[in-house]
Parts: sequence; C-alpha cells; structure tokens
Amino acid sequence: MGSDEAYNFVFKVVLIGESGVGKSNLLSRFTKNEFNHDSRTTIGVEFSTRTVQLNSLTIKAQIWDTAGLERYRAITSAYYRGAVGALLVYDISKHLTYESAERWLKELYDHADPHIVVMLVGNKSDLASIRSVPTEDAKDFAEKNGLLFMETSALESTNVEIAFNSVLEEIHKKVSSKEVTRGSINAVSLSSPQPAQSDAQEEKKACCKNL
Amino acid sequence: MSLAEQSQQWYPTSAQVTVLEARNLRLKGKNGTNDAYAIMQVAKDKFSTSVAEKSVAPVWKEEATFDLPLFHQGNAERCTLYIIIMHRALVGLDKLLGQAVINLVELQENKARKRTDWYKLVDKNGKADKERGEVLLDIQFMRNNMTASMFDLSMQDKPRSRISKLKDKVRGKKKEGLSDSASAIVPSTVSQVLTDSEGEGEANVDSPKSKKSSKLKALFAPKSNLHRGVSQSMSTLGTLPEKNSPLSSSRSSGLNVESPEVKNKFKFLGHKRTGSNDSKVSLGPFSLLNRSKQNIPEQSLCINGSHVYAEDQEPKPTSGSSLSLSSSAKGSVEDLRKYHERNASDVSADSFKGLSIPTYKPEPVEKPLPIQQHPQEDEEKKHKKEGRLQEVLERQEEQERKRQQEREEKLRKQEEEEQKRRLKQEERERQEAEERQRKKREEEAKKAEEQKRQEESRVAERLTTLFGLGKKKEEPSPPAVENPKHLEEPASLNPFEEIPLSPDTTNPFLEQSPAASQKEVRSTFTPTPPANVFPGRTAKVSAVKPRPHPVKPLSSTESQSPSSISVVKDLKTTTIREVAEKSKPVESGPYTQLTHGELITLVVKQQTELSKKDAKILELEDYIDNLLVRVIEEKPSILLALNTKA
Repeated sequence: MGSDEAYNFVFKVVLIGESGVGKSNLLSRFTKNEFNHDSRTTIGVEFSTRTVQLNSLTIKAQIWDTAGLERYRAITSAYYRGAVGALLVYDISKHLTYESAERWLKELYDHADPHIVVMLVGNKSDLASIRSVPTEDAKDFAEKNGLLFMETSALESTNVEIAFNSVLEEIHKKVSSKEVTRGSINAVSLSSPQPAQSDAQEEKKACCKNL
Repeated sequence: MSLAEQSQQWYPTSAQVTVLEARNLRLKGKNGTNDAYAIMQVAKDKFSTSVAEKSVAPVWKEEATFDLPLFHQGNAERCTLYIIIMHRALVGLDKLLGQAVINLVELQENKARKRTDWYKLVDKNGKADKERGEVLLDIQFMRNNMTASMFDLSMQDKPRSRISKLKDKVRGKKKEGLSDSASAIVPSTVSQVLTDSEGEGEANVDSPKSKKSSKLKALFAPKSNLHRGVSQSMSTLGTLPEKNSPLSSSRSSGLNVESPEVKNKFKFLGHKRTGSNDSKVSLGPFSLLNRSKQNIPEQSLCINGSHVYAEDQEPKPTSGSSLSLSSSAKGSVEDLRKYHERNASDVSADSFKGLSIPTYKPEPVEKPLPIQQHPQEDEEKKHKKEGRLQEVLERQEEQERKRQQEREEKLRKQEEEEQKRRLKQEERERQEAEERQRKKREEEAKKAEEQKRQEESRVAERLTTLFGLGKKKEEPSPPAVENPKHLEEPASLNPFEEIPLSPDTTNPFLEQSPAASQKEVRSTFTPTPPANVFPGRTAKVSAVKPRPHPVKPLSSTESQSPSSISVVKDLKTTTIREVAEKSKPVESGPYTQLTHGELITLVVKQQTELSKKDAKILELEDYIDNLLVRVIEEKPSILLALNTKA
C-alpha cells in the first residue's frame, strides 16, 4: 500500500498543553519537517496527517492541533472526541507549563476516551541551559499517571519522530490487544482518498480486528 | 537733619533690599564651595534668602522690604541694615561668611550712591578682620506712610501720588521699552514735570475705556513677550507688595535709561499708563502676577503705580533658547541690568527723595514705543498688538494734553478700575487655568527632556525652577495669576508678593481705592520692546520673595531667586513647548499636553473599550468554536492543514 494512499489505520492524536510550548512546531516538524521560528499563536483548530509504517502496517496519523485552551470552549469536547492518542506538551524551560500538566490531563480524561494513549512531552530540550523542569520529575510524574514520556526539540528535531511513533505504536498495541473497546476508540476515517480501504469507519474497526 | 531739611526732604518709610549676589567669599563648604544664603536684617526684621548650594559666587536675587519707622540718624539701630552671609552647615551651626553693615540713613542721604553696589563683608563684630568678599545689594528707599490698604488713598490726594505714578510710568517704560534703558533714569526735575502731566493725563483720559483698552493692549504686548516682561516684572513685584512704589519706579528708570530720547518716550508711555492704572495698591499684586505669569508686567506696573514693574523683561532670545536662559543668560543679563539699574536707580531714587516726580517730556514717544512693541507683538500677538500700540500712543498724547483739565475724571477712572478689577479677576482665573496647563505641559516636557539627554541637564534645572515657581504661584494666589494677554487690570490683586511681606500689602484691593486709581490711572503701557529687554534686565529684577522670619531658607528650590524663576518660567514655557514638540515623536504626541487627570480618564475609557472588545472576541470565539464543532462533526477534512498533504 502506498503510504499516502493506503493505510490500515487512522489514529487521531491530539496535541494539548499550555500556549507557547511548541505544539504547532512539533506538529509541523513531524508532518512537514518544518520549523517556524516566528510562529504565531495557533488560532482555531486544524490537523495534519502523516502516514507512517509501523511494522507491516500503514498507519495514518491524524494529528490535531489547537490553541492552548485556557477556558472551556464548545470545541473542547469535539476536539477530544475520537482521539486515541494525545501528546501533553510542556516547555522544559518554563515550569509553569509543566505545573499545568495535571490540569490538562484532567481535561483530557474528562473529554476523551479513558483508554487514550497519552505521552508527556517535554519540548524545547534544546533549551537545556535554562531548564526549569528536571527530566526526572517529569518522568516520575509520567510514571505515576501511566503516561509515556519523552523530551523533544522541535527546533532541533530531536525525538520528535520517536515521540509520535511511540504514541502511534502504543495506540496500535492497545487496539490490537483489544484493550480498547471499539466503541470508545475509533480510527477516524477521512474523506481523503482511501484507496486501500474503501470501508467506512465501521469497516476500519473490522480491519483493526482483523489486523 | 534740621526740621527744615526734614520737611523738605523725602523720608523713606521703607527700604527694599535685594541681595543679588556675593563674590570672593570664604569657602567653608566641601569642594571649595559654599551652601550660601543671606540674611537681611533691620532691627528685628529678618529675611533669609534661599541657599545657593555649592556656589562660589552665590547669586540669590532675592529681596525683602523693611519698614523704616523713625528714620533718622538718632535711631541708628533701627536704621542699620545687616546683610549676613551664611554657609549652611550640614552638621552643627551654620557658619558666618561675613556680614555687611549698612547705615541706611547715611545711605539714603548719599544721593550720589549707586542703588546697586557692592558692599564689603566684615566679621561678626563689624570689623574688617580679613578678606571676606563682598555682596552686591540693591537698596531702594520707598515712601509709604500708610499701610498698603491706606496707601492708595493717600496717594490719590497727594502730589506724591503723582510721583508714584511717574515712577510707575518710568518703570513700565523701562520694562516695556527695554532698549530705552538710558532714558529710564530721568532726573528728578524732569520727573516732576512728568508727574504733573501724568496726573492730568489720567484725568484727561476721556474715556477710561479707551485708556483701558490702550493699557490692555500695552499689557498684552508685554505679556506676549513673556520672557522679557516676566523677568522684569518679577523683580519689581518683589518690591511692590509692601510699600515701595518709589523703588520700583527707580528700578524701571534705571533699566531703560539709555538715551534722553528714549526717556521722553518712556515718559509718554508712563503717562498713558498712569492714567489707566492705579499705581500703588495694585502694584504689589500685579508684580506678583507678572512674576507668576510673566506677561503682566507692564500693566501691573501701572496699576501698582509705584512698584509694579519689574524692569527686566526677559530678552526674546532667551525665550527662544529656552534652556540657556535660566542660568547663564541670567547672569549676563543681570550684569547688563545692573548697570542700567544702577544708573536708573540712582536717578529714580533721587527723584523720590526730592519728591519731585520725574517728568517725562511729552516727546514723540510714539516712535520708540512702536519699535519696542513690535518685537513683543511679534512674539505674542504680532499684528493686533501693533495696531493697539499705535492707538495707545495716540491716546496717550491726547491724554497728556488734557491731563490738567481732566483731573475731575479721576472718578471715572475709579469706575474703570472697578471694571478692570473684574476683568482682572477673570483674567486671573484664565491665567490659573493656563498655569495648570503649563504645569502639565512642563511635566510632560520634563519627561520628554529626560529622554533627550542632550538637553536634559539644562532642562532639568529649568524644570526644577519652574516647578518651584509653579507651586509658589498656586499657593500664594491662584487668583493673582493673570494671563499676560489680559494684563489690563490695573489694580493688581496679586497676593503673591504681598503675602510674604507684611500686612500692609495683604490687601491690594483696599489699597487701590478708586481715588488712587484715578490719579494713577496712567496706563503704564510702555510696552518695553522685547529687543530692549536684554537678558541682563531679567537678571535685575530677580524677584525676591520676602521671607518674613525664617532665618534659614525654607527650601533651596524656593529660595532660588524669584527673578530667575520667573525667567525660568518664561524659558520653560518656551522650552517646554519646544521640548514637547521634540518629544512628541518620542512620546505619544497627543498625550503630551494632557493632565494627569485627563490621562487617567483616558486610560479608564480605553480600558472599558478594551473590555468591550474582549467580550466581542469571546463571542466570536464561541461562534467559531460552534462552527468548528460542526465542521469536525460533519466534515473534519476541511480542517486539514493547508500545507499538509494527506
């Protein structure tokens, strides 16, 4: 199957975290291998996709990005709906963004599937000289909350691929291990060409089963 | 003195002493400088100047007026002036740098003396123990038998009032006709003639209104020349408040006297002025006003009659340069002024003593006046003023002709004066408002200046002086503040000067009884042409606020010579404006002239607007969110990032 045209799964992954931690740049680095030094605060909601090969499977990652939500918005529930993975991003040089992780986590679990795969991502690891969040602290926090953990640098493209792939892989594990009830976790079907699978979401589910 | 002599002689009732500066002082302070101040004392009356900090040759230009009861040789204690120069010690007692002991009786009898002269400093015992330097004093003797309130009345009926009028005229002339400094010092004999003419002239003033208008015009012109007028006015003001009508006149004369012709011109001007304004009572207040606002000088002069004018009008150039004026300019100007003043003062003083009023010959004053006026006009109200000036001149001539016959009209004049007073009050209010604005501007200007470091140092000095002035103005007499433009008010209400001095001065209005006003009505318009007003003049006038008791200066800032302050104000205004203009680009131009309150209001207003906008933004966000939700649910592919390719 062509990476762009055919895939076995579509996983919706959401980026969450405080404003300014680099969510959008993580996304652009992962999906377009771009980094914008002058990126503005994200307005609205958008997503990007990237198709990756995991083992023998083609997985289409549909990664959603939005502004760091500071208040409840009507979009919140829609944003999380259907997400099977999440990257909770903070800035290792700004401790406040790390302190708010707990709040983000709560919101995530309020609106998303309880079995969602979550990775705690300490971004801007290139700013280690002004690090204010010790790696160990974050790692401990991640372990306590059953989160994956990774420090990345969208600027230096450090660990970005690994982080996303880890999440996708973990999602796949959950799906394939059937830990996740199908009803709760869906592979979102895109209107975009699905040459490999003409199936609807339901079929996809089936695919998941099959695979 | 024999009784006969006494009867003929002019007895001063008070002495106005201005401590201008000192030199060659012993240096007791750090770094070879002194924090010097001067105490002026006659008998138990003490006044202290401000402290000239870190000075080698301190300049104060502060004045005080002493009552001289029983002014004769037998009352030496009461007639001895002590000028005590002290160094303010940070710790312990202040140190005596030296004192000048002056027998005022002898001084007053010495008609050859220079009004402004250097006096050698001696030790505390009055002995010359060592070189202690010397102090430059301006000592004027004034005749004021009555208290300030009574002064006007007395003046009206008495011939002296005429003299005072003449003096006023002279002063005004000097101030206004800056260039004519030479003429200012009119011999006493001449002065007498003038006085007569003046009285007549006032009486003659057919229509008080016309006179007033002329006066007003003249006033405006001087006012417009804020810089010039201010400095001079300031100096005179100090003297005026208490009893010094003669003094002021002398000063003015000294300043202007340069050429006989000029003198004549001044005389004419003086007549006009006299007719319009009551000199005595009003003078004090006006002088104050002038100081504060800088514009009033001429008119105020007329009103007050005797003292009103500060001769020194600040030179135009100073205003333009703004910054430089405050310090250096003053010094140079002062010197010039001093020279003029000395000459003038001598003459005027003599005239007073003799009781003869310096008569100004009704020479073609017009020519000189217009010239003088023009510069002022240019500065302020270029076109209008000229016309006014010419008119004024014509009116003055007519008045002189009719003066003898029209003494009867004095009553009318009184009425006019009342009107003028009303106008003055209005003007004062206006001036106050203007001052407020000025202050605001100044503050803003200060900020701007700070930003501009090049000018910062100069500006800062000026500003400090200005602030001090501004405060003073506000406190003393808010009403007094008159707009230079409206200088019409003959009876100057200005409490400023008078307040500090003595109870006499307290009631300017009372003093300016209608009768007095009639006689003195002379509208001392002689608008001293700005050109004449040299920087030096401003220095002369240095307004000294008489400080009744405090031996030590209340505050250094205040202590600074009023004249300098006044000048500074003028300068400041100009400078501030300039600064503001300059600063505009740096700071938000539109806000430079706003007051603190206005700025706050503006901020509040904008905050409310912002909150409204925030609310709208929230609404829009909610709307967009709802749209997004629908998109996500209906067709999420729309949200695919534009650059991404699925």
